[in-house]
Amino acid sequence: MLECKGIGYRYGSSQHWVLDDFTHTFSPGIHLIKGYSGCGKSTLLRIMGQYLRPQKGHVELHGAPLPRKYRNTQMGFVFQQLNLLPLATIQRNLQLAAALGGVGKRQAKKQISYYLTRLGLQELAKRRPTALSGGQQQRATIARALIKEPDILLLDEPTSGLDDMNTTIIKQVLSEFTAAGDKCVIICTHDNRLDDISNEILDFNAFLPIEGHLAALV
Amino acid sequence: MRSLILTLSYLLKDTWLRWFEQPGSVLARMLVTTVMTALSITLLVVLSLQIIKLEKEVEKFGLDNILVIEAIHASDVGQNLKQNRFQHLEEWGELVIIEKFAVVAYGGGKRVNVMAYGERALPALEPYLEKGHNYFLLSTSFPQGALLDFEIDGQYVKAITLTPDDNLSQVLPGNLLFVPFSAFRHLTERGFSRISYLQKSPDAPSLEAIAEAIDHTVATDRKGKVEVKSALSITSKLASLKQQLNKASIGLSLALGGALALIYGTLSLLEFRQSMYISALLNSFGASKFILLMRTVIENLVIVNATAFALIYGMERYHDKIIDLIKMKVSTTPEHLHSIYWGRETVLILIFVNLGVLISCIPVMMAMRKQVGRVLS
Repeated sequence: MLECKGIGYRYGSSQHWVLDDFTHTFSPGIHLIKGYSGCGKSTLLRIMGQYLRPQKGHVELHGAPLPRKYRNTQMGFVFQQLNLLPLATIQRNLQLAAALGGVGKRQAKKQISYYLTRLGLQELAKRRPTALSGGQQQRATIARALIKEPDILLLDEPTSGLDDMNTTIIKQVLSEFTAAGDKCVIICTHDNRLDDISNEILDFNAFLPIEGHLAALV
Repeated sequence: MRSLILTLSYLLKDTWLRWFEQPGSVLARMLVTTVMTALSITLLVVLSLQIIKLEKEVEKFGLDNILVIEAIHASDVGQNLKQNRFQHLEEWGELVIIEKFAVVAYGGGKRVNVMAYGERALPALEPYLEKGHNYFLLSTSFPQGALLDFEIDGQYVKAITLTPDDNLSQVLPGNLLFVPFSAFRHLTERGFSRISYLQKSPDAPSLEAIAEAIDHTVATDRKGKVEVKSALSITSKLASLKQQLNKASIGLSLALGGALALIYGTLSLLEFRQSMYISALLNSFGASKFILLMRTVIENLVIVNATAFALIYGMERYHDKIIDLIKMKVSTTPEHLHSIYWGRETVLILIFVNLGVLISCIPVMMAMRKQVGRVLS
């Protein structure tokens, strides 16, 4: 489904390749990428999200280069830093993501209502992000990523700092999302609580990707 | 469309909030625009007013007449300079000759110049003479129609005060007491100025040719001091002023545009560094970079145009007070005023100001090339 082919990346003029010749195919299901801080997990996720351009290699979706509107319509991304628009309410954040994702007005309304309820945010829909707790904001960013029903969902540490109850809600939502078997969820995490919903775990520490290698790791 | 409206509405809210949170940045841009535009527009308006003043002078003086003032000193009187060397000018039109004596008259508590008229001046002075007085004072500062006593070289005369017409006051300004030449012929012995005023006929040579002929006569005779006045000198001054106005408007527009490009560019970049996160975030959802760039462009265009238009409108409205302040005395009609403030020069300035602002957005455009993933990390 989503293929990384010979990805190489280094920051600025550094001689150190954070990722070097990384090749892997992500099939539908939930994939966890684990590893120590700075091993290149988030960098890889951002490359797959088209937020960073790799210096080497490329990413393909269904055997073709990433389409022009990939970021708008086919991919949802949850940042580690809870990047919600601070001046917009949670509902407006979701509306904007749906509109940019090309979701029709009626469909967007239905989706927003569903995900707000599913993630326990319906009472908070009219509030701005600053009035929400960290866990609530995290759920809101996941709702925003899911609103356009993307083929690929990329999440960077979605449960870090969350209590068990919030983590359980997120796990349930992600499992439901991939239940139909046509969606691919890739999560960068240190959180072992997510292991039981995953179909594959790529452990960058153990240098255990199924295909390809991480030359940067010793 | 809906995504565009939502994005723009968010950007508007974000911009509005930033203006309130950091008014200094907006005020700095407004202040720079105000000061620089005010200076440029003031300079251009002053030049335009000078042009209007000269055009009015040309209009009053006319482009078909010439004035020759020949100063004859007492020592020269003995020579045959008493004969008018410029008598031949009458071939080319209506020639009026008036003598200005070297003595002054006292009356009404003031000193006035004494002008003597002979037969050659009668047609031109007819409107005044028909009031029935051989002695008359042409003045705008004396009470009109009053009969006043004047003393000329120990001799007393009674003269009526009349208002000179525009043409005459343009050619011969000041308070002038007109007396018959025959009554004061003896005063010519003390020296005098002979004023020959030619109203050129349509079939006469050009004014330039006549002026050249006069210069030639003076150069050949090498006697007396002759001053030639015509609209020719004003028109050449007018042409040079117009050229100056053109150069000034182009120069000022370039300078203003360049300065604004630098200042707005620096401020925009500083501001963009603060709002880069929001731009990157919106871009991460799929909002177009072009729309995000347009936010900076439109914001700057709104500030610069609102400030410049308000300023020019204000300057036009308070034109009289500004002109008083810089001590210029040129009367203008509202239509004139409108064309001065909103004329070609102002349009040029506004074009360059807007170009400057567009150029100022280039650094922001460069900064926007930074990858979203790096901004959000």
